[in-house]
Parts: sequence; C-alpha cells; structure tokens
Amino acid sequence: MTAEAVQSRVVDDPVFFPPATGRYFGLVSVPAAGDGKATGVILLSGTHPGSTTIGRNRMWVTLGRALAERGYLALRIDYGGLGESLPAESVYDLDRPAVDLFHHAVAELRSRGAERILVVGTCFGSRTAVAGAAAEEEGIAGLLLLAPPVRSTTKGGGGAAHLAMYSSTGDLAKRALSLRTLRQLAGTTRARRMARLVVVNKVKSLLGRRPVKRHNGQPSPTDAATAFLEPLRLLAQRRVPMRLVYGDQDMFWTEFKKAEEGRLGQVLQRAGSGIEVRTVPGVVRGFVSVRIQDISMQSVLEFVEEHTDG
Amino acid sequence: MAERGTAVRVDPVSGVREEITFFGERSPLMFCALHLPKGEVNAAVISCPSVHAELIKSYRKDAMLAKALAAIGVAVIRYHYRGEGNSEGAVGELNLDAMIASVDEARSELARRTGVDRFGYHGTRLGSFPAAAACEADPGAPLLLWAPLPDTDVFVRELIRTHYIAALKGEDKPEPTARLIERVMEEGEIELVGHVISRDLYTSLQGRRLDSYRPKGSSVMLTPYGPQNLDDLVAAWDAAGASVTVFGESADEEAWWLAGDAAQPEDGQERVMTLVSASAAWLLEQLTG
Repeated sequence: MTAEAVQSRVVDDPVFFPPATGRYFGLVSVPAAGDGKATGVILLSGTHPGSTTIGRNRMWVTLGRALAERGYLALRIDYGGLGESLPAESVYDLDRPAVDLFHHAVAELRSRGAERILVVGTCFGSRTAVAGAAAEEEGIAGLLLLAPPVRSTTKGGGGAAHLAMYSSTGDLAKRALSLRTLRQLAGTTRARRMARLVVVNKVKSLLGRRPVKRHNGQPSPTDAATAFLEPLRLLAQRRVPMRLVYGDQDMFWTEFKKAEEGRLGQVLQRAGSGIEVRTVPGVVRGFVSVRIQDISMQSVLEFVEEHTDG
Repeated sequence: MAERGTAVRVDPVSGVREEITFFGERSPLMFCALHLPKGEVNAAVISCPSVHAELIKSYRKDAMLAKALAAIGVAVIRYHYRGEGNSEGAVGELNLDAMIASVDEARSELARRTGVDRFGYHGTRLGSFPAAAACEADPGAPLLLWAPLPDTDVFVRELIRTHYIAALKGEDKPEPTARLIERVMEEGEIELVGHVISRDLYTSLQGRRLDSYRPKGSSVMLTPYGPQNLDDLVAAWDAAGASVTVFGESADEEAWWLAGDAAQPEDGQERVMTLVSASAAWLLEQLTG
C-alpha cells in the first residue's frame, strides 16, 4: 500500500495529551464526518532516533490514514523524549514500557468517542501494548503485535546477544565470510567505517558467546521475560484477543520459538485460541522493505476489521 | 471532510507557545510546528529539515534547537515538505525544487503569525539546499547548516551504498547502480533501504551543488559531519562575500540511513546540547546583535 492509495478524505488532527500537561504528542487520523465506527486504534512504533509518528517510508502515516479511511480513529505517537513530546523521564528499556503514555493515549481516544480500543505495537511498542493493556482498568478489545521481542535485551544490544545465543558455529562462519564481500565493497572512507563497525560487532558477539546453562526451576536465558509474560498471561485470562505476527527470518521469531519451550509455551497453551501466532515470509522487524511494510499494514487492517463490531 | 484542530502547549516557565498545525497556500497542506516566544518577537528562523531517514533521525535535534531559540525570544517554524513526514501528499510531491519553493510559504506563515520581517535560516543535511536558496534571496540573513551536503550526489551515493550494504544481508544479488537508475526512470520510482524514491526526486537531485547558492553578506555557520570536506564550500562562500564559521569537530555518528532501534533520549546528551546551545546563541547574535 503506498501513500497514493490513501485518499485525503481524512485529516490528521495533531494533539498534545493529556490535556493537563500536554506531555506527549500524537496525530489522530480522523475519518470523514459520518464515517466513524467508534473504534480507536493506537499505533505504537518501536523507538528509534528522532520521532515515532512517521516510520520508515512513512509507514505509520500511511497506516493511520488508511485506518481512518475505513472509519477508525488512529492515534500515532511520539514517545517521551522523541519528536514533539516532552523529554523522557528514563531510558528506553523493553522491561520499562511506556505504560503512562499508553494510559493517556487510551483516554485521548475515549475522549474522542472511541468505545472500543485496539492496539498495534512493534518492538518496544509491542511491549508497551501488552503492559499498558494489562494495566488498563477498562478493557482493551484486542492487540496485534508485530515481531514482539519476548526476551529482555537492552535496546539495540539484542543483535549481538542473539547471535551469541542462537547461532551455530557454521552460521557464524558463514556470516564472517559475508564480511569479505562487505569489505570488498568498501571503497570509500565512509563505507570502510561502516564495514569496520560491522566487523567489530561480529567479533564482540563471538567473544561474548557463553554456554547456556540450565538450572533446575530457574528460567533459562532463552526464556521469555517476566515483564512480557505476566501481562500476557493476565490479558489471556481476560480473554483479550491477541495476534502475534513474525517474519520467518526475524531474530525475534527464533527467540520466540526457543522461549516457547519454557514458560511462554505454558501461557500460550492456557490461552488456546486467545493468542494466535502467525508468520509471514521475511523479516518484519524494522519494516525494512516496502513488501514487508505492505504485508504488515494489511495484517493490521485485517485484524482491526475482524475485531470491530458493526 | 473531518475537522482538524491545532495542538497547543504553553511552557509554564518560559511562556513559550508551541503550536502544531498544518499550513500552506495550496493543498496538500504541510505539517508544521510553530515555536512562539512570550512577548514581543524581533526575529524568526525557518528550519528546513531533510527527507526520508534523515528527516526522522534529525527530528529531535531540530526540535530542540527551535525550543532553545524560542526560549531566548526567536520565533521558529519547523515543517515537513509536501509528500514527506507528517505532511499531506504522496511521495511524488517531493523533489528538491518543491522543497526550495516551500520555504516562501513557511516564511509567509511565520510572518503572518509574528509580524516579523527579519529571518534566519536553518537547514539539516539535504535541507541545507532550501535553506541556502532562501538565504540567497534574503541577502544578509544568517544561515545555519547542520551536516550540510556539499552536493546532492553525496545524498544519492550514500543512499545507494546503504542499499548495497543492506542487500548483503539478503539472498538476492543487488542490482547494479546503472540498472537501479534505469528502473527509476522507466518505472517512476524505486525502493532503496525500504524507502520509495520517485523519479522526480531522483532527477531533481542530479548535479546540484550547495555552493551554487551565494549567501552574499550573510554570516554562515556550518557543522561538519563524517568525512565530507567542506573546504571548497567555505572558500566559495567566503569569495561570495559571506562570513563563514565552521563549528565543532566532525562527529563520527551512526550512518544516517542505518539509524536502528538503539535510540535513547537525546535531550541530555552533552554533544547534542553543545550543538543546540551554540547554534541558538549564534543565531540570536546574528539576528539581534
């Protein structure tokens, strides 16, 4: 879906919220008058430098407007410390999701007449979606999580830790070989600098590799984070429908499959059809291609349509 | 058509008023943030961002500069070009000439809101081109450029190189550059690093040099970035009658197009704070000194 596909019958309404402090900034894509369905959708990006209302190739802009074209209110947001929001009170950490922002985002959509709230999140946004929805007193109607990380990795440090824990020696050797190609490409200072950065990270990841020890009764290092599992369990008990979508090449999918052998598997088993897991070809995390952007947006539109009354 | 409002926030300490709205002399409208000081405003700055990944990566720093300027009495407008960021319009609206033309609309909007007729210009990366073009048309106006691109070829080259580096992760062999260029001309757009690049944008970026604009009589401050050599630009603008200052060391930052998910708040980072406060002080001095 390209931006051209979305006509401009809808508008984006900028808002500082909550009204008392205006701490956060968001844009609400508003349906044309008379088209509203009284359902609001909160769009939660991962954190990355700058702003989280736009996304790669304006994906969140396009998605928000596409939802409004279908009659939904769609709110996309700058986390604290990003874009137009006031400074953050802490660093971004998967185990410290933006629950305060989530709560106020729900209130903002409810103040605009949204009776049902659906939530879409990716990466840090998916952890915020799960923790925030579990903390809400009034029910959330459903969650769609795009490539949610199940483990507790420091943001940005997940790649090295992932390589160290999940790659075989053969995989690592293959990766080292691919660096030769990278270095051949590096004909300029800038490209050489990029190549050096990649090489340093690979070496660090190899040096950081440690045997995974299992202790009786203790979560293994590959187990899902409690900060993810507990709210997920709570939401499943409340029968809030959840759908997790991974790319079959996502490193978070590998981690999910491994974590499924532990406590995550028990939560999924108890939830039954309440938590649905789907895969699509490729890498969802980061939405690095237009193809995966389109697949992800289509997944959102389908989920929202399926979980809306009337 | 649904109704749209303006988001307003007033800082309880400084009294600075921030308004987020949409503006423009024609549809599609452009997203903008107005930073309006409390009391009388004597000067104003138009902030021209970059595009695509560069827009997002520099977003917070641009906003921090605007807040810092408004706190010392300088009004600022930041905005997104048509077809870019949170503005209306499709990707086909975006090209360098449209970016340059949009500065007039931003200046008119800021003048309408503040009554100010003395302006300074700020540009980041590719946004240096509209800022420099506006400065040339407003002789003597101060010009602040963050990580300017000496020419547009640098922008295209970095984008294509990043595309190749990213492609190494995949299984498909990337197309040669010549084929990429053929395709953007034939098909109207291509995808690079997950961004759609239109033929209009690509063709508008052919062979443009920043030193073709002459900020005569202006004070100019440049902050260097990476390996890009600004010596020729400084010499050309000095010769054109500008007074050019280069501020700070070349920052060894993460590549613009590879900005990943390792974001942490920039507000308290010493390097960012130094850049923002020095830039704001310099602009204030040029506009009111």
